[in-house]
Amino acid sequence: MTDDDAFDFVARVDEHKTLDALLTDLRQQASNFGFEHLILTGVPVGGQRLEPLVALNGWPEGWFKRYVAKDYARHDAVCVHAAQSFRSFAWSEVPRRLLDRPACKRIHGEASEFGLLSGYVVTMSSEHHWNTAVSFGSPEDGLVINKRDRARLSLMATYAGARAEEILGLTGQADPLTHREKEVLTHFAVGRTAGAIAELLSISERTVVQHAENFRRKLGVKSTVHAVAIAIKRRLIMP
Amino acid sequence: MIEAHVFSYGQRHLYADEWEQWLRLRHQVYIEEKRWHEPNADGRETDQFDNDAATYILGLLDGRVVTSARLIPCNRPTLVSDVFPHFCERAGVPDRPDWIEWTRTLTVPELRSGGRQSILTQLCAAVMEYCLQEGAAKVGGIQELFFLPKWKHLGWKTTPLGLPQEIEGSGECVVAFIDVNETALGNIRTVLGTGRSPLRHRGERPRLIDGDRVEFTQ
Repeated sequence: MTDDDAFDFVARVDEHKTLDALLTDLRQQASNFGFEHLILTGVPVGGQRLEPLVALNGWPEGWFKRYVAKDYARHDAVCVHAAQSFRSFAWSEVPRRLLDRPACKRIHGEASEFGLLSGYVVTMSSEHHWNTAVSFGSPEDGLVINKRDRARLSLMATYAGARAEEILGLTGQADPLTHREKEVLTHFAVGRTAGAIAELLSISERTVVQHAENFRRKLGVKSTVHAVAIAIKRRLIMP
Repeated sequence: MIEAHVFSYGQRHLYADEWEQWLRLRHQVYIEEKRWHEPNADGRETDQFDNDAATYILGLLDGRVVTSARLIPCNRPTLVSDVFPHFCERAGVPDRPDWIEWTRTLTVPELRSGGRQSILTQLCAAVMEYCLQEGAAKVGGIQELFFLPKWKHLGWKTTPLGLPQEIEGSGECVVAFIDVNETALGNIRTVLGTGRSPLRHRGERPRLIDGDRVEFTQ
């Protein structure tokens, strides 16, 4: 792997018209660093399910099925840390207080049976998700990648992530919420009840509830609390 | 929508009140929030790049400065050329007059919301429109890698000039430049849902690129 490989990847990333083509290319590049598997996904938060958030799935098939079926995203320290980190990190650099939890240790033990022993995660901002991450996995225990290789991987992953969201049609859209929905959501965010909001805005409580249903659906979440969290993160509201 | 007022460093007297507001905002954001430097006793933030090479865009809402950009042609000293040249290992330090360095973009804290049609997106559209009108080819500078995908969200194409590197306190950063063209302007206007120009100026329209600059003596 040279700098050329990384910059060539960046230069051609927009030529990939499908997620499959993008995955094949990124995987090829990652294999030069010793990473055989990768996943590019929105990072699940607040009990979100992983599966609908995945853009590129290059995880071992059996492992992905198990991970989703058992909802491992809640307990996997790598996944939890990816939601909190504004910078890339090796799996081994995840804080020990997260890694050492029994549920996490069990998950990582099982992952090793699928050839996932060490890895590297690149996180990036997303307009659609809490944030987006690429996790690269290697069958080599304690794989060490040097600073320059990390920079190359981070750059490629960031461009791949942005392109994947574009292919999925998640970019270039207008604001998902109406002005009124944002207004109602902001009142919820500062702790007002539906009744109080109805009175403040001089609308019926039923209308408030309808607005809440709409913004939850548009943001793909089940609870208003979760909608508040996502909307603040995506800067749709600023309570 | 904001009014995006464009003026050169030499025209800042035409914006005396807004200029003062903005330097105080810069102090608040870059020194009190981000702690880039030690506080200044006068509560204003300026640096060596506030000089005759710079053109400013201040976003005003009801006369109040809410967002900003500073644009400097790359044939003049820039933050990238003088402080971060080692971030341009791949492509070399940009030195063309039609490549524009974009720095000092802030948004007042209470208006950092609003999603796609945010104040920030409105400012980005103003920067793209002005750069395009002035014949710029690229606009960009040093930025956090984490937020690089945001340009893609606006339908803009970027090129990195080197690998990302760590900057203490700011994480992994990269120097990247955005293509300035009609497509980029069209795409951000789609995101904003309006094709109306936000650009305004007082007095003569300032020229962005060296050689055409309107100079004022004070």
